[in-house]
Amino acid sequence: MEVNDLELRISKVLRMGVLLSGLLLLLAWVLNTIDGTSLFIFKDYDHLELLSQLSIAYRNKQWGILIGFLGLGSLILLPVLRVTLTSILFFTEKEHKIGSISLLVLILLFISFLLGFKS
Amino acid sequence: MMLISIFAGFLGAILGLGGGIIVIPTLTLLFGIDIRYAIAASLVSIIATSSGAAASFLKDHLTNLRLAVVLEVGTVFGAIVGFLIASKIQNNWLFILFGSFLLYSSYAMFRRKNDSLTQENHPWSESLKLGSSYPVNGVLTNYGVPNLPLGIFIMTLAGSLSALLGIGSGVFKVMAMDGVMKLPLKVSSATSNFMIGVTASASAGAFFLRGDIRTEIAAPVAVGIIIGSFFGAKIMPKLPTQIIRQCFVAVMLIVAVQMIYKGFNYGS
Repeated sequence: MEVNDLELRISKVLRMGVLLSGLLLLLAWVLNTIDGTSLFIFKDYDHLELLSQLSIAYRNKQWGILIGFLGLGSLILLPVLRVTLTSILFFTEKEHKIGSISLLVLILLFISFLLGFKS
Repeated sequence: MMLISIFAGFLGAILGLGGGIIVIPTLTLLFGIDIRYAIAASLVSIIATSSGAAASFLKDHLTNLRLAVVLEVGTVFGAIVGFLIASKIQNNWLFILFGSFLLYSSYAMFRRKNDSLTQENHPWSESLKLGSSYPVNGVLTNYGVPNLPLGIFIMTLAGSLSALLGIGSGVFKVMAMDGVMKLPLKVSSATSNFMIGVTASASAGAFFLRGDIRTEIAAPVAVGIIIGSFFGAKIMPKLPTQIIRQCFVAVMLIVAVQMIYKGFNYGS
């Protein structure tokens, strides 16, 4: 398999991922609009943990918010999935040097994630 | 908000930027949303621009996948360094320094009339087979990747700046590839677009788990950006390089002035 085929495969996964998260976010937006959510409440910063937001939304049956989080989560994970996939595909093609570099990016990405969580 | 997001995604896809310079002022100034929510939503918009356009650019042979992987080591490492030293650095001088640097670079970029194209490869680029080809008027044209170590160094700097200053560093990435590494502008823009998603996802993940990314704001922004970046990526290969360069210089000037202004008003 040529690198161009690899690019094509990764491009297909990315397209599907973007489409899926885009549709989820569109649905979330429509549901939030029906619920009558106003952006005015975000005029001032009010820290609320993700888990608290999820449990409040679940209790109040705010499906727009729940589906929105699902869409956002999948969108945020898409670049990580892309790096993982690139790494796997390069190793499969016995491109060890560039595969290892890709793996290094993935490790650095996780270190960066961990630092973010710790803060 | 949707229309402005579509425009931000469109411009971001063409220029290799995240669209944050449009999204953040719109959310804060037009909709009166708190800056922290705006920054968090802007991080999502960077990923949306990047992922939305990346599929098309990969298919059109504009993104250099191998080079993106190598340079991502620099940007992600830089983001970690930036995160670690953030509390020890006085940001106002950084804003002024890099704002002035951008001002000078925009002038240098404006003066350049011809697109970069070289067959020369750095030994590392040779070993990693980073040279590639891209379509010029429908014909695949080869290009080399010189000055790789300096390119990685600038990417590390760009990654640190994203973490230190809370900016998407697409401007610096395109500048490094176009100016220092002598890559064609369209390849630089597409490859930068591909990379910014990775840098942004690291920060976006943390913001997401902290609960700062609110779906009520981020959902319409992301949907708009995805639509805009899709069309931007379709149009970019057909646009003359000179027009992309002029748009890029204009955006660089805006970012430079914003950064210098922020530097002088920091903390006030």
